[in-house]
Order: sequence, then C-alpha cells, then structure tokens
Amino acid sequence: MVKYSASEADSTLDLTFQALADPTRRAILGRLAEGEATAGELAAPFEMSLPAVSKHLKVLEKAGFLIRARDGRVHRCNLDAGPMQAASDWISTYRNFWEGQLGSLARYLETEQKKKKEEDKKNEPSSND
Amino acid sequence: MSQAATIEIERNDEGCVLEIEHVFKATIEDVYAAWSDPKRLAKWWGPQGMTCPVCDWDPAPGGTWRTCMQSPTGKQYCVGGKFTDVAPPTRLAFTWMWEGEGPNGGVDTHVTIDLQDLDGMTRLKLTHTRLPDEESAKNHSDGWTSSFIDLAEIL
Repeated sequence: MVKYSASEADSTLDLTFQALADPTRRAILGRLAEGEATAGELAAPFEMSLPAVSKHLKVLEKAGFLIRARDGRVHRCNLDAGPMQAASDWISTYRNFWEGQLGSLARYLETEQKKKKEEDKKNEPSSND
Repeated sequence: MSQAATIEIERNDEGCVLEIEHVFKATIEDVYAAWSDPKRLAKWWGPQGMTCPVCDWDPAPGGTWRTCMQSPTGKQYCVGGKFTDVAPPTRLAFTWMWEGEGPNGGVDTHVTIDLQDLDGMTRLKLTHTRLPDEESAKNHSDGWTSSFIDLAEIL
C-alpha cells in the first residue's frame, strides 16, 4: 500500500509520469528493483555529481517510488513499486484494448487487399478480350 | 503487415489522454470505410477471438451507437455513445461509455480517429480522452475493473 496525503492524491498520476519521464530516473528504479542501495551506490553508474543524483532521488521520492531510511549519515533507498503498478495497470487495460482493436483492423484490411488483388487477377483475362 | 503502433499517455484537466498511432497498408478511403460502414466494422470490431453480435453503428453527427463484443465463453462487453464528428475520409469522433455495474461503468469518455494519407498508406491516430485518472481507477468496483481486465487479457 502506498500512503498519500489528500493533496498528493490529486496529482499522483502526474507525479508518476513525471518521475518515469527521465532515463536516469528509470535507470535508478531499475537498480532499486534489484535491492536496497545507498545514494552513493545509486549515483555510481552515472557521470553526475551526488547533488544532481539527489535531485532525481527527490523526484522519485515525491512520486512515492522511493523510500529512504537514515542510517547515521547514510541514506538507504528502497523501491516502492506501488505507483508504477497503479499506473501500468491503468494504462495497460486501455492500451491493450486499442492495440488489439487496431490489430484486428490491420488483419481485416490485409484480407480485403488480398481479395481485391485476386479479383483483379480474375478480371485481367476478360479485360484483354 | 502494418507498422507497430506508437503510444503516448498524457494527462489534462479532463482526465487522462491515450494516443495511439498506427500505419495501415491500405488507402485512406478503405480505412475510413472500415470504420464508417457497420458491415465492415463488424468484421474486425472486437479483439481477436471475440465476435460482435450487436453492432448498431451508423455514423452521423449526433447519432447514437452501441456495440457488444462477445468472448468465446459468451460473456458480453457492451459499449456505446454518440457520434460527435463525422468527416470522411479524415475524421470520425464519438463518445465512449462502457456499460457496467461499477461506478465508472458509465464514465463518458471520448474517442477521435484521425486519418492521414501517406502515399497510398494511411496513418491512423486514435485519441482517447477523458479517461478516468488513477484515483478513479482505484475506485472502480471489482466488477467493472475485472471485466475490463478480462477483456484486455483476451487480446
């Protein structure tokens, strides 16, 4: 379960999409999916300063993707996939539906094209008469 | 073969927006006819494996429509609405409301189909707006959400 305050709940999906819109943040989420990491460990693969990475972590935290626990001076980060699940569940139902529909339309149009071609072939000899 | 679809999702004041683009190897007239002629529509409407036993569809501005898609197990998924823009062969727009028991079964959403000629091929842009946002999606009763997910799984 993800906990939101009332004002946050209004724009949860905005925050989710905003957080996912950046390749660095997606890479950070990918790393967190493998397990807990410190901010320093998350920064390591990127040619970026720790403050720059910290900004990305804040965006992820605000969207509810990241849970930080302080261990002395070290921040331990963990992934909360809740927002991702909510967003992807929602999107996938509509997206799959329309992709399926357009796939059906594509197959139908291909069949019609084939029929047309076969009819054209049949008509060829008569047009030579 | 048709080209893979590109998909975008945004959010505006009215809710979420889903955009899908797809290029079909067919003329704009043929693609439009597949959408506007109920006999042709019934041949492809509904995901693979499903039939379309109810296809009340006659595009005219302000006219209403209703279709039911039926799964191989006989379960029906009905959706209906009103045509809002009919401009052959480039645009067809209509409202879209799933019938269902859940609180969002009656959510009034809107679909626009825009067609563009690409040298004998056709680019289709589907824009589905006023979709419920995550908060209302969370509030869907099991009935509506699960039947929609069932439908998505059959695809």
